[in-house]
Amino acid sequence: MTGVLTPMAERAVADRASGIPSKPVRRGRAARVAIVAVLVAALLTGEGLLAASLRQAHAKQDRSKRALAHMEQQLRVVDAQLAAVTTKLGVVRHDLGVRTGERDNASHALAQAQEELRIVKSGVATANAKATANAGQITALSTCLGGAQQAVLRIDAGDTAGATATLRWVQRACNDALTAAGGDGPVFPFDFADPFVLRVGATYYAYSTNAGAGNIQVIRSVDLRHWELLGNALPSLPAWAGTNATWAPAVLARNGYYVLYYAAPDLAAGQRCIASAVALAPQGPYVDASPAPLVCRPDLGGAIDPSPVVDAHGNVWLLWRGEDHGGQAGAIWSAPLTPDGRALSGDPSALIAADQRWEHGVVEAPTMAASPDGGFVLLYSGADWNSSSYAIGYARCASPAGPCTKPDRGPLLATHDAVAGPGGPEFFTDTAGNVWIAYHAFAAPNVGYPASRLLRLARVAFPGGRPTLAPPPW
Amino acid sequence: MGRGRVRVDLVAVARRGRTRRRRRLLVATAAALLLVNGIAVRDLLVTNGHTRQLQHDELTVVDRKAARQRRATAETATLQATDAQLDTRTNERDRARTQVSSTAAEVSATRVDLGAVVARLALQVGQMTTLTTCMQGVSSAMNGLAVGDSTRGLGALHAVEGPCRDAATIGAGG
Repeated sequence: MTGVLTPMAERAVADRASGIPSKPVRRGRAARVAIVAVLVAALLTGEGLLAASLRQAHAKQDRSKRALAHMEQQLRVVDAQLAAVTTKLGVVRHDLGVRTGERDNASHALAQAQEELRIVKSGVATANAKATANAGQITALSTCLGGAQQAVLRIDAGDTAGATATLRWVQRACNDALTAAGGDGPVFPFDFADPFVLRVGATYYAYSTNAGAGNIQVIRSVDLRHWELLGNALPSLPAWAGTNATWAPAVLARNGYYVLYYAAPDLAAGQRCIASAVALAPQGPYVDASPAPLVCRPDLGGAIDPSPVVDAHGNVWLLWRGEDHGGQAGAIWSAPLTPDGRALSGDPSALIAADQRWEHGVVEAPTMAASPDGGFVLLYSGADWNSSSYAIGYARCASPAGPCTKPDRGPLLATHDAVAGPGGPEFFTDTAGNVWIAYHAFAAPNVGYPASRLLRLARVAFPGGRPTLAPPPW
Repeated sequence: MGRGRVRVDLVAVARRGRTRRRRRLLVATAAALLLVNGIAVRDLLVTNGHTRQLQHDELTVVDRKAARQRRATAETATLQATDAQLDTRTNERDRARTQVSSTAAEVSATRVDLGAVVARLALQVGQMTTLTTCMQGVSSAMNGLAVGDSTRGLGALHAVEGPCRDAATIGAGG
């Protein structure tokens, strides 16, 4: 075998036999060694690079840590600031709440104080106004009182004209002092009993029983509220009549003259009788030259409280009260008058008598008006004129001659408030055609003669035929 | 040729031994380097991951800080507004309290005025009562005298003598 091998092969065989690798094997090993060496070199290089990268990474990480720490520190600072602000805000909000409450309390207290001030100021204003009004009333009262005291002296001296002049002089002050109440208060300050109101055009004349201004007092008004004292409408009395008792006047307007009816004592008969007097003007002076009374019924106890009424046909009637006589209670009578109003033209008729409890046996002071639903309404006074039980009742009549019935069991107008003992009513109409009554009443608590009976007015309506009274609109 | 051959072989064998050792060392070195590099890479990755996390955390903190700052700014503005409100409210309270005091003083003064007017009214009422009483007596006297009733007339005057004496001392205007 040896003989056929090439030298090279022989050498390889020899190397193998001696354990020496062959040349290709050595070359392969060298290549691998080189590769490994390169790899080692690359690994070394990579390691260097990795180490550098790692250092950089660590450095970056450190920077990030520091940045994070710094940021966290800043966050803590901001958190602390925020906490401080939030705390302070809470405190301020609490303070604001407290302050708002205090402000609201103060505002509430202010509103209360202002309301209290308003009320007190209003009270002061009201009191001042009242004090001013009182001062005016005191002045008026003082003036009125001075005049009344002078009038008393003149009356006591028999100077009726002087007394009337004095009363006229202070009447405005007396009006201000005594008639300012309005409503159903008096409209004239002096005694004015048994009033009668006559309208002539747009002027009203009122007449009353004798008092400070004379036998028949007469006053005048254009608005029914403010009255002017004119004086004595009947300066002289007929020879048959006694003085100081000329009562319950009433006036009938005729064509061109006026007839005054009044009651006066008939000296001869010893009874009160009805007389008539005539004047060309409503305020007088009325003249009574009659030799005897117009109506005097000795058989019926005498006659007082005359009141004329004109029916729808123009016929004139006279109503009066027949006085008590022979144990008989008085009654209301009527009789026709002649057209001139100066004489009776027929027999009298009894209209009503006292038959109700509240009348206490007395009916007097009649007045009659046509009712809108037909027939007539008769108003009259009942009970004691000198007391607060005096009152006004009514009856319905078919005609001025009767017959009459009393629908109610009680009075139409009785004492109320300061109006004590109302009585002496008389119908009249105003310029608008409204129906009124004039009446008198004591001013409570001054009830009874010689206290004054003051003139009052009321409006009348007839709902359902029944008269109802209402205070004047002022 | 035989002896030389043996010597050559011994050298070759020795050489091969060294070569083998060197190769093994080289391989071991490479392996160690691989291992070190692997560890280094792992560390690098971990470090980078941590760094990214830190950066993310930082961004989160930045955001939180910004939010807190905005809130702090808003709270500060609210605080300032509330402070201003508090000042306003304090002024309103103080003004109201001052007004309450002045109004209360005015109420007191007005009450004093009212008391004076009420006292004047009471005096006037007394005066009017006196005057009215006297006037009623005088009127009654006038009514009595007017009908010739001197007894009642003078009686009425006598009844009001006292009030009329007092009335005479009342000056006009009360």
